[in-house]
Amino acid sequence: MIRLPQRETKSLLAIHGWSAVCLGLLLYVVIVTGVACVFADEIGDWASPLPEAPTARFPSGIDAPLRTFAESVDPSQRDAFFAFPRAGGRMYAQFHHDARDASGKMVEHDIAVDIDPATMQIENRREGDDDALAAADRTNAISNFFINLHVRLHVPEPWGLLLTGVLGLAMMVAAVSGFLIHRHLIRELFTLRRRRDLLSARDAHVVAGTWNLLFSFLLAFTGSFFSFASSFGVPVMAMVAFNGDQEKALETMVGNPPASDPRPATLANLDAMLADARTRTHSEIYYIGIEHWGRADARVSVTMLPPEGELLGTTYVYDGPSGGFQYEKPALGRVPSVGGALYGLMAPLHFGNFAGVLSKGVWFALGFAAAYVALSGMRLWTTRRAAEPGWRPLTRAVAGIGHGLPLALTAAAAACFIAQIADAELEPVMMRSFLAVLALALAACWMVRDAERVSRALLLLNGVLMLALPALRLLAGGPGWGAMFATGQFAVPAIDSALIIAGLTCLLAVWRATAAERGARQALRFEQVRG
Amino acid sequence: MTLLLSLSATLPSVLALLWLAWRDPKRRRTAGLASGPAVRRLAVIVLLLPGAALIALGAWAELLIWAGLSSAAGWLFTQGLAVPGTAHRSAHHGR
Amino acid sequence: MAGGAIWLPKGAAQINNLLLPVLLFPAIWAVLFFYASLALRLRRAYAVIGIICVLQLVLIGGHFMLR
Repeated sequence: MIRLPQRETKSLLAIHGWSAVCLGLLLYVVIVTGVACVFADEIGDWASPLPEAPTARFPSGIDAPLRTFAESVDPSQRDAFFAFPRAGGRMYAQFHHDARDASGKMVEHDIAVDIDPATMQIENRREGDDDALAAADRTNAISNFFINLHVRLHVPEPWGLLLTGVLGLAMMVAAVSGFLIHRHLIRELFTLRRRRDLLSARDAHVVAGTWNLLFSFLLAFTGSFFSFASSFGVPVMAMVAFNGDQEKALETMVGNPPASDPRPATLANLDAMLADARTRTHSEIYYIGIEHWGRADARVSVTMLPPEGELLGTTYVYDGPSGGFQYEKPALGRVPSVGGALYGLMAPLHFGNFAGVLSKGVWFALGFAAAYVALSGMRLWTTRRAAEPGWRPLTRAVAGIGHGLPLALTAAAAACFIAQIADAELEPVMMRSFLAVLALALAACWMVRDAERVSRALLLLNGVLMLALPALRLLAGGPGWGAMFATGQFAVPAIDSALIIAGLTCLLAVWRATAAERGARQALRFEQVRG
Repeated sequence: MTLLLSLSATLPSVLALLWLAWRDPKRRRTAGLASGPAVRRLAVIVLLLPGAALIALGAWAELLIWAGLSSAAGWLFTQGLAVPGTAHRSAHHGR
Repeated sequence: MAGGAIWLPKGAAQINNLLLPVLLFPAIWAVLFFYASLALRLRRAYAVIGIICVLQLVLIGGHFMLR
């Protein structure tokens, strides 16, 4: 039990409540999309599988199409290159290069392709900045949409990242202050009173919050680090230590500063380097990065997935022109360091992707609990102030977004398949459907007196739509379960089944809530008759 | 291996949690059930021991999975064992 | 936070001074936030945080002047 003087408890309660009221709804959006993003890779594999599962993350023979792609790119635009498998195992390969536009402003210019791992065909070449590449990416449309919403709420750089960073800080404040104000942390760990009143609403929020406390803190901390590091932290450090040269700052942090040698030189065979990296550790290749492709100072970094039972993978560095192994390094820095290790831990702790589906499943559950804590907290706040008319807009917004947001996300996924059938652009269609559904949900909560009834209708719609998603996927030309089982692509049947179970759960919840309400009404009538 | 180790660490903890939730005095009092002697200390040891073992082994990935699964299970048990409303008047009415 | 680049030890990989402030930024902010909101004497809280900020600015300013 934590004993705090009353004054501190009071101000902490105010901090807890007001940070939630001001930022809670946006934070709820970030958490809910984050829960979906845990399985972003699997969602890609589910939405756009290939007929054949790739033999490995980096199948042998990948050197040839990557080389063809590189030769099609102007040498001046080959500063940085990276590649890793995305939806269905398609190899995503991208050159990145910073250029100055007519007005002298720095703009990023990227060139990307997908490579079919079975046929080694280069497909879907696209150029432009990050947003342009994402918009032209049809196979990762659903996961990109969710990721963009989670990372920056679709707000342009750098404001989106700064916003989600602040939301992460708010979540941290909520976790810490919630911990400090809850006096009976251990004693009430298992007590949840189920009645339709304030006390049970409070119990629901507090119990979920207590069980989820550590992970909420962890996710908030690592999340706000990711938001602030690139949008604020690195620029500030670059300003202080490198006179504002961010590239120099990053180079120093990565610990891979190449001695500049711009003479042209052919890159050695990548397949050989990848094969060598595989012999050095018991894990698969995560991604590869190449600096200065086609120059004498080219350097190839092969980053490995964490070996079984570990959180961090390692990186092997090869000399580009000779293909010879040079050294092993951590993610940041040339040799292990406190900062480098802490940085390395940020990603596995935030994404929960260190032990495949097992750890992702756990992170999904914890994220779901965090979303429940956020929503039940806002419900509690508004229920307590139900009598005050000033709070009614917030009450309605909470009701509308609470169940409207999951529905809008399902609708966006459904819209993606429908747009595929209609051969339309995916991203705008998804965005419009998402916003339209959210607006309709809010409007319904605004106009209908009984917000509870609207919530139930939204949940019902979400259940129906979830059940419809596998059918829509098939209608959009997606493969059936038989073919996917035969080729070992289990993401497709797994996510289909998860959607069906989730859809049925929604319907069951609606049915039970309706039955409970009918029971309560009958009991009330009985009381009246008897009285 | 990760799967095996994390699940075998989680199983005793989950069972201990179930026992703790079932015998929890505050929960039973609120539900109007008799609260007999709860062997809480032993259950808490069983709950935390796998975590300590994983730390000793340096199995950090398994430790995270164990912690995540156990806390999710704790929440689920509490939800599942939620006590229906009783006439019992609660002394401290929320905050 | 920014001053950390100058006064923190660089460590074996020569990057700790750059990385740690960025990594711990959320924690630094949270400590300052809770201190400011719970401090009994507001004037002292302003002073403490003000002095920390000024110290950092002086460090950064000095760093640029001495180069």
